[in-house]
Amino acid sequence: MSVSYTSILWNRQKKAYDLGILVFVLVFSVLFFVGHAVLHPNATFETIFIRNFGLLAFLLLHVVLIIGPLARLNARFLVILYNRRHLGVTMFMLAAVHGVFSIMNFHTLGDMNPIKSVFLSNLSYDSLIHFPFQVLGFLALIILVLMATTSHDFWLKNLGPKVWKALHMMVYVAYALIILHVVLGALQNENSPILFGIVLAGFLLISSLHLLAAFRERSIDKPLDQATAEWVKACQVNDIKNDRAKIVTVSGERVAIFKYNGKLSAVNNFCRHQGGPLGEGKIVDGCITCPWHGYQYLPENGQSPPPFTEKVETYRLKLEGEEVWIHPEPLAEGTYVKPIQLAGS
Amino acid sequence: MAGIISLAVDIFFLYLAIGVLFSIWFVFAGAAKFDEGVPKAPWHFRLIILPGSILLWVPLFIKLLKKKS
Repeated sequence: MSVSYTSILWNRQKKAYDLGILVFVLVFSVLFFVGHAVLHPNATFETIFIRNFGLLAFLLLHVVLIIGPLARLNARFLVILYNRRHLGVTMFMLAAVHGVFSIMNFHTLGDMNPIKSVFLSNLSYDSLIHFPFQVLGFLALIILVLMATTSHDFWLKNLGPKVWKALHMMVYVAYALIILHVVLGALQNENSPILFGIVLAGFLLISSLHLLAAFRERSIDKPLDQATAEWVKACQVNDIKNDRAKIVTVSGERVAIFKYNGKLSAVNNFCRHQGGPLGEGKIVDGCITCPWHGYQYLPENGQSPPPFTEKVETYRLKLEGEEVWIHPEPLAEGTYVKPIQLAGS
Repeated sequence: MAGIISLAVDIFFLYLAIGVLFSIWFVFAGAAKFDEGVPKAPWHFRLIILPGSILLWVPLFIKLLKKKS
């Protein structure tokens, strides 16, 4: 998005990403319909349709939730982190189809308002086995609607990063509701332990990856500096790959030290767009490129190239032999710092 | 319990109905009052922010009031 919300940068990678999502949805749906028709010949089209979209949304929600920790654990997964917003909106649309068709199929035949029917057709709220699981799915869908409709940059800018982030962290509440929706719904219809095993495996996968990523981040957050130190040793030059960064923590802030074109520069790690980790991105066309949505900053001054206006703090670096030292005091956002020239470059 | 749930759903519908009315005004006039990027945005941008402004009309309304004062 540009400063005036004009769509730009619909590049080849984004097209390939979206095409990949579309192909996955289509192939999965065909296989699901055929498989379901063979295994359950008495199932109606509506039932298969609703289950297909529900399962697809559930699967994509897992992918959405594991992308972040996976990319933190291994940079190779950054390719699926990029454009995650489209994956999230696709997941919402699939969930919406599942929800709307379920309501049409099960709650439009009586005299009651269909939405009221979701909440009132089964009042066994005090029963585990007969709990009205559709209510849980409906509430999760409300959260997903909120998230999908506020995914545009307009909302990030006008709600503010903190409110926007809090709103989008509600995906974990939605996930918990969906898990209960699936498990309690299945309890009323299924006897096979396979379904419960798959749901449990998904939950364990998401939880363990988040824990692993959090554990790894703890080592990044270990501060390098003493409170009074003027310069602190950050790393060795060889610790940083070309066109990539090493993330260190100084004065309580994560800083990304980039090596590019035989030079070193350091900027605050926090992307001003949606808080993405700049240090997990790379240098593209001479700019630090955020791995989340491709926002760019010039490494020597932390400014987005015109007409964009985002800026991040910069830091002073110095070289002692092969050791990279950083001054822990951040300079004002957008302040130019002469890059360190590496020997032999 | 059924009465409480029914009332809550009615309030939810009322909230959305007000949101629909608010959003129509918001996407054509209100949004431009606190975001300088809106007037230059293409027409489909208004469609994109319409659902969010239905759901979040209360915080948007408060923000507009603060801006005015």
